[in-house]
Amino acid sequence: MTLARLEEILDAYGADPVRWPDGERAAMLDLLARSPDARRRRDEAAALDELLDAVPATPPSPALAARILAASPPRRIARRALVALVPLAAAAVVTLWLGLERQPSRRVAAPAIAVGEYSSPTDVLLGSYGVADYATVPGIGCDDSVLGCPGVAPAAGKSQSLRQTSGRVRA
Amino acid sequence: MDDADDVLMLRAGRGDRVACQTLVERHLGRTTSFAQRMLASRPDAEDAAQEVFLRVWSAAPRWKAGTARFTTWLHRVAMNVCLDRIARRRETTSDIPDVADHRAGPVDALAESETARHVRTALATLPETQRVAVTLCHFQGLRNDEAAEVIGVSVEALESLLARGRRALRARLRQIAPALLGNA
Repeated sequence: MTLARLEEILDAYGADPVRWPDGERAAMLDLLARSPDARRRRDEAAALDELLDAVPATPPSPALAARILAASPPRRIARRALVALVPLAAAAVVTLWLGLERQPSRRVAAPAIAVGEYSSPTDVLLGSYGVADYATVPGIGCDDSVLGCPGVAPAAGKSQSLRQTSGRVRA
Repeated sequence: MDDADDVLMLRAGRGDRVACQTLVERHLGRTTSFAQRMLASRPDAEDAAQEVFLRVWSAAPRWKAGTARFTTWLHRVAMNVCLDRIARRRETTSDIPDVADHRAGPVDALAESETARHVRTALATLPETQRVAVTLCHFQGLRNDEAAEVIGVSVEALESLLARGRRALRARLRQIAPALLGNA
Protein backbone atom coordinates (compact mmCIF):
# COMPACT_ATOMS: atom_id res chain seq x y z
CA MET A 1 0.00 0.00 0.00
CA THR A 2 1.41 3.36 -1.09
CA LEU A 3 0.41 6.77 0.17
CA ALA A 4 -0.91 7.58 -3.31
CA ARG A 5 -3.20 4.53 -3.27
CA LEU A 6 -4.31 5.39 0.25
CA GLU A 7 -5.26 8.87 -0.94
CA GLU A 8 -7.24 7.41 -3.86
CA ILE A 9 -9.18 5.17 -1.54
CA LEU A 10 -9.85 7.97 0.96
CA ASP A 11 -10.95 10.26 -1.91
CA ALA A 12 -13.37 7.65 -3.19
CA TYR A 13 -14.68 5.91 -0.09
CA GLY A 14 -14.02 8.31 2.78
CA ALA A 15 -12.46 7.63 6.16
CA ASP A 16 -14.62 4.78 7.41
CA PRO A 17 -12.77 1.45 7.01
CA VAL A 18 -16.13 -0.30 6.52
CA ARG A 19 -16.46 1.40 3.12
CA TRP A 20 -12.97 0.54 1.92
CA PRO A 21 -12.38 -2.31 -0.53
CA ASP A 22 -12.20 -5.59 1.37
CA GLY A 23 -8.87 -6.61 -0.15
CA GLU A 24 -7.11 -3.36 0.78
CA ARG A 25 -8.51 -2.65 4.22
CA ALA A 26 -5.77 -4.35 6.20
CA ALA A 27 -2.99 -2.67 4.23
CA MET A 28 -4.71 0.73 4.66
CA LEU A 29 -4.91 0.28 8.42
CA ASP A 30 -1.30 -0.80 8.51
CA LEU A 31 -0.14 2.29 6.62
CA LEU A 32 -2.28 4.56 8.78
CA ALA A 33 -0.68 3.12 11.86
CA ARG A 34 2.79 3.93 10.50
CA SER A 35 2.33 7.20 8.56
CA PRO A 36 1.41 10.65 9.98
CA ASP A 37 0.75 11.85 6.39
CA ALA A 38 -1.70 9.02 5.92
CA ARG A 39 -3.50 9.94 9.13
CA ARG A 40 -3.71 13.61 8.08
CA ARG A 41 -5.30 12.59 4.80
CA ARG A 42 -7.68 10.28 6.67
CA ASP A 43 -8.76 13.16 8.94
CA GLU A 44 -9.56 15.36 5.93
CA ALA A 45 -11.73 12.63 4.51
CA ALA A 46 -13.40 12.17 7.89
CA ALA A 47 -14.40 15.88 7.98
CA LEU A 48 -16.33 15.47 4.72
CA ASP A 49 -17.90 12.23 5.95
CA GLU A 50 -19.12 14.02 9.04
CA LEU A 51 -20.84 16.69 6.95
CA LEU A 52 -22.48 14.10 4.71
CA ASP A 53 -23.71 12.23 7.76
CA ALA A 54 -25.40 15.40 9.01
CA VAL A 55 -28.08 14.92 6.36
CA PRO A 56 -30.79 12.88 8.03
CA ALA A 57 -32.79 10.29 6.18
CA THR A 58 -36.42 11.31 6.44
CA PRO A 59 -38.62 8.27 7.08
CA PRO A 60 -41.39 7.67 4.54
CA SER A 61 -44.89 8.66 5.53
CA PRO A 62 -47.33 5.94 6.66
CA ALA A 63 -49.67 7.09 3.89
CA LEU A 64 -47.03 6.21 1.29
CA ALA A 65 -46.64 2.71 2.70
CA ALA A 66 -50.42 2.29 2.64
CA ARG A 67 -50.65 3.43 -1.00
CA ILE A 68 -47.90 1.04 -2.01
CA LEU A 69 -49.48 -1.90 -0.20
CA ALA A 70 -52.85 -1.11 -1.76
CA ALA A 71 -51.23 -1.63 -5.16
CA SER A 72 -49.56 -4.94 -4.21
CA PRO A 73 -50.26 -8.00 -6.36
CA PRO A 74 -53.66 -9.66 -5.91
CA ARG A 75 -53.79 -13.09 -4.33
CA ARG A 76 -53.29 -15.66 -7.07
CA ILE A 77 -54.06 -18.73 -4.98
CA ALA A 78 -57.81 -18.43 -5.69
CA ARG A 79 -57.27 -18.47 -9.42
CA ARG A 80 -54.91 -21.40 -9.18
CA ALA A 81 -57.36 -23.29 -7.01
CA LEU A 82 -60.09 -22.57 -9.54
CA VAL A 83 -57.96 -23.96 -12.34
CA ALA A 84 -57.22 -27.04 -10.24
CA LEU A 85 -60.90 -27.46 -9.38
CA VAL A 86 -62.09 -27.66 -12.99
CA PRO A 87 -60.68 -31.15 -13.68
CA LEU A 88 -61.66 -32.23 -10.18
CA ALA A 89 -65.22 -31.11 -10.74
CA ALA A 90 -65.31 -32.86 -14.12
CA ALA A 91 -63.99 -36.05 -12.54
CA ALA A 92 -66.62 -35.83 -9.80
CA VAL A 93 -69.42 -35.47 -12.35
CA VAL A 94 -68.19 -38.47 -14.35
CA THR A 95 -67.83 -40.56 -11.18
CA LEU A 96 -71.33 -39.66 -10.07
CA TRP A 97 -72.75 -40.50 -13.47
CA LEU A 98 -71.00 -43.87 -13.61
CA GLY A 99 -72.18 -44.66 -10.09
CA LEU A 100 -75.81 -43.99 -10.98
CA GLU A 101 -75.55 -46.08 -14.12
CA ARG A 102 -74.43 -49.13 -12.13
CA GLN A 103 -77.23 -48.95 -9.56
CA PRO A 104 -80.04 -51.61 -10.12
CA SER A 105 -83.20 -50.22 -11.68
CA ARG A 106 -86.11 -49.84 -9.25
CA ARG A 107 -88.66 -50.72 -11.96
CA VAL A 108 -86.95 -54.04 -12.65
CA ALA A 109 -86.80 -54.81 -8.94
CA ALA A 110 -90.62 -54.69 -8.66
CA PRO A 111 -92.07 -56.28 -11.81
CA ALA A 112 -95.75 -55.64 -12.39
CA ILE A 113 -96.14 -58.05 -15.29
CA ALA A 114 -96.66 -61.78 -14.83
CA VAL A 115 -94.14 -63.86 -16.69
CA GLY A 116 -95.50 -65.40 -19.89
CA GLU A 117 -98.48 -63.07 -20.17
CA TYR A 118 -98.44 -60.07 -22.46
CA SER A 119 -100.03 -56.92 -21.21
CA SER A 120 -99.80 -53.43 -22.55
CA PRO A 121 -98.68 -50.66 -20.20
CA THR A 122 -102.26 -49.38 -20.14
CA ASP A 123 -103.46 -52.79 -18.89
CA VAL A 124 -101.00 -52.65 -16.03
CA LEU A 125 -101.99 -49.14 -15.03
CA LEU A 126 -105.70 -49.79 -15.14
CA GLY A 127 -105.39 -53.20 -13.51
CA SER A 128 -103.92 -51.67 -10.36
CA TYR A 129 -107.19 -49.75 -9.94
CA GLY A 130 -109.38 -52.85 -10.48
CA VAL A 131 -110.59 -51.80 -13.89
CA ALA A 132 -111.40 -54.60 -16.39
CA ASP A 133 -109.98 -52.94 -19.42
CA TYR A 134 -111.38 -55.29 -22.10
CA ALA A 135 -114.91 -55.01 -20.61
CA THR A 136 -114.92 -51.23 -20.90
CA VAL A 137 -113.32 -50.81 -24.27
CA PRO A 138 -116.10 -49.68 -26.66
CA GLY A 139 -116.48 -51.01 -30.16
CA ILE A 140 -114.91 -48.19 -31.93
CA GLY A 141 -116.90 -46.82 -34.85
CA CYS A 142 -119.19 -49.88 -35.17
CA ASP A 143 -122.48 -50.81 -33.50
CA ASP A 144 -123.79 -53.04 -36.24
CA SER A 145 -124.40 -56.69 -35.34
CA VAL A 146 -124.28 -57.63 -38.99
CA LEU A 147 -120.65 -56.71 -39.09
CA GLY A 148 -119.95 -58.60 -35.85
CA CYS A 149 -119.79 -55.61 -33.59
CA PRO A 150 -120.86 -55.86 -29.95
CA GLY A 151 -124.61 -55.64 -29.38
CA VAL A 152 -125.03 -52.13 -28.24
CA ALA A 153 -128.19 -50.22 -28.90
CA PRO A 154 -127.20 -48.22 -31.92
CA ALA A 155 -127.81 -44.58 -32.38
CA ALA A 156 -129.94 -44.17 -35.46
CA GLY A 157 -127.98 -41.49 -37.31
CA LYS A 158 -124.61 -43.09 -36.76
CA SER A 159 -125.77 -46.56 -37.80
CA GLN A 160 -127.34 -45.23 -40.99
CA SER A 161 -124.21 -43.44 -41.85
CA LEU A 162 -122.14 -46.58 -41.53
CA ARG A 163 -124.50 -48.61 -43.68
CA GLN A 164 -124.55 -46.00 -46.34
CA THR A 165 -120.81 -45.92 -46.32
CA SER A 166 -120.53 -49.69 -46.57
CA GLY A 167 -123.17 -49.73 -49.35
CA ARG A 168 -121.23 -47.24 -51.31
CA VAL A 169 -118.11 -49.30 -50.86
CA ARG A 170 -119.90 -52.44 -52.13
CA ALA A 171 -121.40 -50.60 -55.08
CA MET B 1 -31.52 -11.39 4.62
CA ASP B 2 -31.18 -11.43 0.86
CA ASP B 3 -32.28 -15.03 0.65
CA ALA B 4 -35.26 -13.97 2.70
CA ASP B 5 -35.88 -11.10 0.28
CA ASP B 6 -35.88 -13.64 -2.54
CA VAL B 7 -38.42 -15.75 -0.72
CA LEU B 8 -40.50 -12.69 0.05
CA MET B 9 -40.49 -11.72 -3.62
CA LEU B 10 -41.70 -15.19 -4.62
CA ARG B 11 -44.46 -15.02 -2.01
CA ALA B 12 -45.35 -11.46 -3.05
CA GLY B 13 -45.70 -12.72 -6.61
CA ARG B 14 -48.39 -15.10 -5.39
CA GLY B 15 -50.20 -12.20 -3.76
CA ASP B 16 -49.03 -12.89 -0.21
CA ARG B 17 -49.98 -9.71 1.62
CA VAL B 18 -47.68 -10.36 4.59
CA ALA B 19 -44.69 -10.79 2.29
CA CYS B 20 -45.54 -7.52 0.51
CA GLN B 21 -45.80 -5.75 3.83
CA THR B 22 -42.44 -7.12 4.99
CA LEU B 23 -40.76 -5.99 1.78
CA VAL B 24 -42.22 -2.52 2.25
CA GLU B 25 -41.11 -2.38 5.88
CA ARG B 26 -37.59 -3.48 4.98
CA HIS B 27 -36.96 -1.45 1.85
CA LEU B 28 -39.29 1.53 1.59
CA GLY B 29 -37.15 3.62 3.94
CA ARG B 30 -33.92 3.13 2.02
CA THR B 31 -35.72 3.56 -1.31
CA THR B 32 -37.24 6.86 -0.23
CA SER B 33 -33.92 7.94 1.23
CA PHE B 34 -32.11 7.18 -2.03
CA ALA B 35 -34.75 9.01 -4.05
CA GLN B 36 -34.70 12.00 -1.75
CA ARG B 37 -30.95 12.37 -2.16
CA MET B 38 -31.20 11.95 -5.90
CA LEU B 39 -34.21 14.21 -6.48
CA ALA B 40 -33.67 16.77 -3.70
CA SER B 41 -37.40 16.84 -3.03
CA ARG B 42 -39.34 14.82 -0.52
CA PRO B 43 -42.67 14.80 -2.42
CA ASP B 44 -40.85 13.76 -5.61
CA ALA B 45 -38.94 11.14 -3.63
CA GLU B 46 -42.18 9.63 -2.29
CA ASP B 47 -43.67 9.55 -5.78
CA ALA B 48 -40.51 7.90 -7.07
CA ALA B 49 -40.50 5.36 -4.24
CA GLN B 50 -44.10 4.49 -5.06
CA GLU B 51 -43.18 4.00 -8.70
CA VAL B 52 -40.25 1.79 -7.66
CA PHE B 53 -42.53 -0.45 -5.62
CA LEU B 54 -45.07 -0.65 -8.44
CA ARG B 55 -42.21 -2.06 -10.51
CA VAL B 56 -41.37 -4.43 -7.66
CA TRP B 57 -44.96 -5.73 -7.58
CA SER B 58 -44.96 -6.02 -11.35
CA ALA B 59 -41.74 -8.06 -11.31
CA ALA B 60 -42.67 -10.24 -8.33
CA PRO B 61 -44.75 -12.86 -10.24
CA ARG B 62 -41.82 -13.40 -12.63
CA TRP B 63 -39.10 -13.25 -9.96
CA LYS B 64 -36.56 -16.08 -10.11
CA ALA B 65 -34.75 -16.74 -6.86
CA GLY B 66 -30.98 -16.56 -7.05
CA THR B 67 -30.74 -14.74 -10.37
CA ALA B 68 -30.17 -11.29 -8.88
CA ARG B 69 -29.46 -9.92 -5.46
CA PHE B 70 -32.68 -8.17 -4.46
CA THR B 71 -31.10 -5.05 -2.96
CA THR B 72 -28.89 -4.56 -6.02
CA TRP B 73 -31.86 -4.98 -8.33
CA LEU B 74 -34.00 -2.65 -6.21
CA HIS B 75 -31.36 0.07 -6.28
CA ARG B 76 -31.03 -0.27 -10.04
CA VAL B 77 -34.78 0.19 -10.41
CA ALA B 78 -34.69 3.16 -8.03
CA MET B 79 -31.77 4.69 -9.91
CA ASN B 80 -33.55 4.35 -13.25
CA VAL B 81 -36.78 5.83 -11.88
CA CYS B 82 -34.90 8.79 -10.41
CA LEU B 83 -32.81 9.40 -13.54
CA ASP B 84 -35.98 9.32 -15.65
CA ARG B 85 -37.56 11.92 -13.38
CA ILE B 86 -34.48 14.12 -13.47
CA ALA B 87 -34.47 13.93 -17.28
CA ARG B 88 -38.19 14.80 -17.46
CA ARG B 89 -37.69 17.64 -15.01
CA ARG B 90 -34.85 18.96 -17.12
CA GLU B 91 -37.04 18.79 -20.25
CA THR B 92 -39.81 20.80 -18.61
CA THR B 93 -37.75 23.30 -16.63
CA SER B 94 -34.42 23.24 -18.48
CA ASP B 95 -32.86 23.96 -15.12
CA ILE B 96 -31.25 22.17 -12.21
CA PRO B 97 -33.64 21.26 -9.40
CA ASP B 98 -34.53 23.99 -7.01
CA VAL B 99 -32.45 23.27 -3.95
CA ALA B 100 -35.02 25.02 -1.77
CA ASP B 101 -37.42 22.21 -2.66
CA HIS B 102 -35.72 19.68 -0.38
CA ARG B 103 -38.17 19.94 2.43
CA ALA B 104 -41.67 18.67 2.71
CA GLY B 105 -42.87 21.71 4.63
CA PRO B 106 -42.07 24.39 7.21
CA VAL B 107 -41.83 21.89 10.06
CA ASP B 108 -39.16 19.88 8.26
CA ALA B 109 -37.41 23.10 7.33
CA LEU B 110 -37.13 24.06 10.97
CA ALA B 111 -36.04 20.58 11.99
CA GLU B 112 -33.31 20.30 9.39
CA SER B 113 -30.01 21.79 10.42
CA GLU B 114 -28.22 24.48 8.49
CA THR B 115 -25.41 22.05 7.77
CA ALA B 116 -27.81 19.48 6.36
CA ARG B 117 -29.33 22.07 4.03
CA HIS B 118 -25.91 23.06 2.73
CA VAL B 119 -24.96 19.46 2.14
CA ARG B 120 -28.25 18.77 0.33
CA THR B 121 -27.62 21.79 -1.84
CA ALA B 122 -24.11 20.64 -2.67
CA LEU B 123 -25.31 17.11 -3.39
CA ALA B 124 -28.05 18.39 -5.70
CA THR B 125 -25.50 20.16 -7.88
CA LEU B 126 -23.46 17.03 -8.57
CA PRO B 127 -23.74 15.41 -11.99
CA GLU B 128 -26.24 12.51 -11.80
CA THR B 129 -23.79 9.62 -12.11
CA GLN B 130 -21.54 11.05 -9.41
CA ARG B 131 -24.58 11.67 -7.22
CA VAL B 132 -25.70 8.08 -7.74
CA ALA B 133 -22.23 6.77 -6.85
CA VAL B 134 -21.88 8.86 -3.68
CA THR B 135 -25.44 8.09 -2.61
CA LEU B 136 -25.07 4.34 -3.14
CA CYS B 137 -21.72 4.01 -1.37
CA HIS B 138 -21.91 6.60 1.36
CA PHE B 139 -25.62 6.86 2.22
CA GLN B 140 -27.00 3.48 1.17
CA GLY B 141 -23.99 1.52 2.40
CA LEU B 142 -23.52 -0.64 -0.68
CA ARG B 143 -20.17 -2.32 -1.25
CA ASN B 144 -18.13 -1.03 -4.18
CA ASP B 145 -18.88 -4.09 -6.35
CA GLU B 146 -22.62 -3.81 -5.61
CA ALA B 147 -22.69 -0.10 -6.43
CA ALA B 148 -20.70 -0.73 -9.62
CA GLU B 149 -23.22 -3.40 -10.63
CA VAL B 150 -26.15 -1.06 -9.97
CA ILE B 151 -24.65 1.67 -12.15
CA GLY B 152 -23.36 -0.81 -14.71
CA VAL B 153 -19.69 0.19 -14.57
CA SER B 154 -16.46 -1.42 -13.41
CA VAL B 155 -15.26 -1.00 -9.84
CA GLU B 156 -12.43 1.20 -11.14
CA ALA B 157 -14.92 3.45 -12.93
CA LEU B 158 -17.03 3.60 -9.79
CA GLU B 159 -14.00 4.64 -7.79
CA SER B 160 -13.35 7.43 -10.26
CA LEU B 161 -16.99 8.61 -10.01
CA LEU B 162 -16.80 8.56 -6.22
CA ALA B 163 -13.53 10.45 -6.07
CA ARG B 164 -14.73 13.13 -8.48
CA GLY B 165 -18.04 13.39 -6.65
CA ARG B 166 -16.49 13.79 -3.23
CA ARG B 167 -13.98 16.34 -4.51
CA ALA B 168 -16.81 18.31 -6.09
CA LEU B 169 -18.83 18.16 -2.87
CA ARG B 170 -15.88 19.44 -0.86
CA ALA B 171 -15.32 22.29 -3.31
CA ARG B 172 -19.00 23.22 -3.35
CA LEU B 173 -19.26 23.18 0.43
CA ARG B 174 -16.17 25.35 0.74
CA GLN B 175 -17.92 27.75 -1.58
CA ILE B 176 -21.32 27.92 0.13
CA ALA B 177 -20.28 27.31 3.73
CA PRO B 178 -16.52 27.76 4.18
CA ALA B 179 -16.67 27.34 7.95
CA LEU B 180 -18.03 23.84 7.70
CA LEU B 181 -14.89 22.14 6.41
CA GLY B 182 -12.29 24.23 8.21
CA ASN B 183 -8.90 23.43 6.79
CA ALA B 184 -9.96 20.06 5.41
